[in-house]
Amino acid sequence: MQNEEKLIHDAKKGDNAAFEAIVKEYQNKIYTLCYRYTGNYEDARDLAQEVFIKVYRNIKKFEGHSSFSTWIYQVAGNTCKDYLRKIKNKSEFSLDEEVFNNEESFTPQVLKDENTPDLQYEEKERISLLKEAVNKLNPEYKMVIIMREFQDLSYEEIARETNTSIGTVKSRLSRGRNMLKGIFLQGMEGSLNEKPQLQ
Amino acid sequence: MKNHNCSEILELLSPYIDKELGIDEEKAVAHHIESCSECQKEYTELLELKKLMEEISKEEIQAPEGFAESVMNKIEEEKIQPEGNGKIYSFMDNFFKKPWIPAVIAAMLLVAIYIPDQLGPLMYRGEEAKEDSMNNEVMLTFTAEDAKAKEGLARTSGMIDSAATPAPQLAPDFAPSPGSGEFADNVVPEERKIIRNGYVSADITDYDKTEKDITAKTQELGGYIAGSNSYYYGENQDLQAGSMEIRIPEHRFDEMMSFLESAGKINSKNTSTNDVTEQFFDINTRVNNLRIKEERLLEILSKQGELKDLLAVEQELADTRSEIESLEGRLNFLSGQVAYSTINIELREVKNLDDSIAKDSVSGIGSKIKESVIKSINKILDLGVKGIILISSALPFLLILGVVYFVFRVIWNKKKRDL
Repeated sequence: MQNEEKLIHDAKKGDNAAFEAIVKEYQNKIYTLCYRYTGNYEDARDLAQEVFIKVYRNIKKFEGHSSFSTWIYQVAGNTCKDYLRKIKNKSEFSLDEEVFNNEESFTPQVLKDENTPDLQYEEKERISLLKEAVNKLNPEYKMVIIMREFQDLSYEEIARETNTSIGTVKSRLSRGRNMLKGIFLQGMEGSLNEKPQLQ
Repeated sequence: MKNHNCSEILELLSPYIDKELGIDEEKAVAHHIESCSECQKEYTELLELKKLMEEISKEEIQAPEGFAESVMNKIEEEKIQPEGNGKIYSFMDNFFKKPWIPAVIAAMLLVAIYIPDQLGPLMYRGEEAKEDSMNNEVMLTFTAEDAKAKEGLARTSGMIDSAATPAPQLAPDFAPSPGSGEFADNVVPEERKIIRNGYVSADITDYDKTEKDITAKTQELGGYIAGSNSYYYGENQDLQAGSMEIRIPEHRFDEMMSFLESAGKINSKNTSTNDVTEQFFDINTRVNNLRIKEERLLEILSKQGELKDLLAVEQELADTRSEIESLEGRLNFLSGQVAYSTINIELREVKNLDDSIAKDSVSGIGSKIKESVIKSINKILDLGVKGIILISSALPFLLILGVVYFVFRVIWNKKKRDL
């Protein structure tokens, strides 16, 4: 975005209109990421709001060492991480009821899903089952899997973000994927009522 | 085909599909899944999962209607302001980005507060000990001194330095007059009457020769030996020590003192002055008054009178004269004291002087080497012990330092994470 720099410059000076333009530019990306973390539209909305308020508060600290998009993703990642930590501590991670109740009442439009029309029904079904599986993951594993798969961070970056070692990241990803696969295959079994088939 | 490696390979599959393995491990995994159908199945399933995840990550969910507006509303409602000013931030940022900076500051504070406390006593201890030994020496040399010299002890200890650097000598005709200020300044314009005393304590190698030299020099300067005594001491009673009291014409005092200073190794030295101008004036006045009285009495006596009265006058005259004599004697004594300065000398014969080449230093070199080696070892041990004490006494501070550092780390990490 060519005028992003100017928008950031103006926002730093306290131009709220410029900041609003920035929010509009990033809101979908951030909201999506928050949804991946929370698996819950309501919480995703609150989290995304929190992220943008943090960005607003700290915009003067953005000095252009990295791209603005990387920075804003970092803020979002940290905010979501704290959310998962809170969830973990409260151990109220019972997504089954909460998530699906909310989803029924409020289902946002999915954008940019270019493949969707071409995908077969089965493929769509599998993707939706996998999304559910991600939601059901233990926060510890969910965090690394989202960072790896959705934020496309390297093991080293994940280790830095989660304050752990690369070895821990490796084993968490490995175990997380196995769990994800397990949950996913279970879901397949339930919905299709037949032997799970991945290939 | 089951391989004993399967469990390890299964562990590596996840980083394998992420391409986060080293070349060797990657080869091993690739090789294994070619031959092991079970691991291959696991691998293809994970790969499929990753592909599905990629599909998901392509999706972008639209933020709720009016999301941006609600963010802006919240910012305005809660009067949220962008924090920090760039410059201050970058300073604080650097401060927290480099956690060793607070650590270094804390360490410097520690050094500033703690080290002088700790090292101070260690260093002073050495100096005190040195001074103590010097005081002891002065005490010893003074034990045989007369009362006057003992009075000077307090002053002497303050003048120890003069052993190394000669004290400024008083010009004979222009000496200060402590304790007689006003009177001396206003009433007695004449020459000051000052008694000067000197004291020298020295180590020498040949007592008899030094005594002779001093005697010769004293006579040469027009002085005289007021008294001397000596005794033998040492393991074999082959060393002499003693004291001399010499009187030197007042104007040759400095000359004599410098001669004595070169006679041997000076342990201590001092000079003192006593202004007796006031006393002089006082006695003179009284003598003059008594002289007038004497003349009057003589006048009375020359007149005729009753015998009883004459006898009384005679008696009075005798008393007056005796008083005059006594006072004149005192004046003469003082004049003598002023004219001739007194120098007390303490001499102690030693085998070698520290600053001259010892004749017998080669003898017993073995035991001397041994002795000095032992001394050095003791010094090293002493230093080591002091070092250990220093370090161990610093431990609590290091602990605090560690805690401070840890807290800064936590704050720093939190700051980083909060963003």
